[in-house]
Amino acid sequence: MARLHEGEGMAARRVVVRFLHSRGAVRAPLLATAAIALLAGVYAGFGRLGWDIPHASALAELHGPLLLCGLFGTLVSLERAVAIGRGWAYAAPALSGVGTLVLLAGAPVPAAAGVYALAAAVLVGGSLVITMLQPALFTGTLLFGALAWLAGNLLWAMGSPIVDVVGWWLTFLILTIAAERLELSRLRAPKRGSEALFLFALGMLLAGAQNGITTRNGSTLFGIALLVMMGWLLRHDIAWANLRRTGQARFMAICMVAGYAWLGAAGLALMGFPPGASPFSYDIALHAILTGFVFSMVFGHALIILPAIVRLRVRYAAILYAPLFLLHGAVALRVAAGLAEWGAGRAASGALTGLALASFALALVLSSRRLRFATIDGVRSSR
Amino acid sequence: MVDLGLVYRATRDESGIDVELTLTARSCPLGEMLMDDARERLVARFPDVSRIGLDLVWHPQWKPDLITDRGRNLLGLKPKEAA
Repeated sequence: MARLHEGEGMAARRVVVRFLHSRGAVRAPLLATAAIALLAGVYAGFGRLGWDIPHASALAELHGPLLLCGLFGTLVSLERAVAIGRGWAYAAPALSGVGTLVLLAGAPVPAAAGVYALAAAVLVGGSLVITMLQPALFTGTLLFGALAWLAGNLLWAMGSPIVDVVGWWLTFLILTIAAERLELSRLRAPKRGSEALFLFALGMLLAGAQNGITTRNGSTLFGIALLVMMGWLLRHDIAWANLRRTGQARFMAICMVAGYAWLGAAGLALMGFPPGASPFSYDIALHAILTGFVFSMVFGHALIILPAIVRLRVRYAAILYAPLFLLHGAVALRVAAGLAEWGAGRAASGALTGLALASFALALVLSSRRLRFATIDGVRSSR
Repeated sequence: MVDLGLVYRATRDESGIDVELTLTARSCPLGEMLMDDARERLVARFPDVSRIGLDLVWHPQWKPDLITDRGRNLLGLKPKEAA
């Protein structure tokens, strides 16, 4: 909370009222639900890996939905709402947060799924507004990403098992990230074929999700899409140039590029080692995409998004490479353990992932020299 | 922001300062922070000015053409050819 410059009661009341009405008062609870979803989702993951912990069996099924909808759905919706700047857009992250609470309260799955579907519908609305205001391939891609989230949630609400809908949830995240990279690629000299290649990847991704990534057909199409998308990123993304820079820019670029490698690896896994081929092939592909690609992008973006959304002034420091290394090490271990059908290695990779996430949060706190909360409407705290 | 061509207007007269900024994308969640930071910088730079008007505008739509020569240099783009 902001500390006061004057010590008077009236001034104190003014600051508190302004804070409560400020954007922070709306966003903090939304982020809190995302944090709850992250913690519960990771805990559920430990349960799935066979750890003997309380409530493991009850939560195990919720690992995917908690992380994909509760964490990422809420975060993406919140970012979109901040971009749109209108009150109604915040219904998306709010509903997503409610969905998480409903899910954790033990309500029947269709109830929670229905709430997440409502959240996705609002996100679709917001994405449509943005696309109408700025018609472009990248805004259209964001819209299709939101539609993919909606499709997955609706199917899940209507009783489809998670393995049949997860392709849509993956599409939501992959398209949301790819759209941002496409938008940024405008800052570089345009190369021929960018839009065509991007559209091809997008189309194959949707086809694969539609057919289901646990089918031979769907996993092949999805795998091809991931390889084509990685090809687009290799050729057109701006991260490559930033590898030559220093400090934060270089750190972010390394996060991106390492993520792109896992995207390609997941594509190869889906094609050559499709879900069903072995007990672990589904696990390998999913975690290469979600831990190797998506979480690496999260690590790379945290330094920019946290200040933008909640004015948390986090700073880059070289120590951040340690959790990044742990993260990618964990994915490598998980993939290797899956290929070798080595259960203990897989369980250890889960622990390593949890450690990577926790140490990243800790490293951010430590590296921010004087962690300063600025109330968003301009009242600065004294240090 | 200047180098990307995002400053559409920056004028000063007796009544005060007027600045108009845009963003490269409507989907960008950084806009709010950029506006707040811009306001803070302007207030710090011009403490004696009674009125500072800062607006986020969307017309004309930003295009990469608007990147300044210095911006092109920093991004490693070729300089714009003279008309």
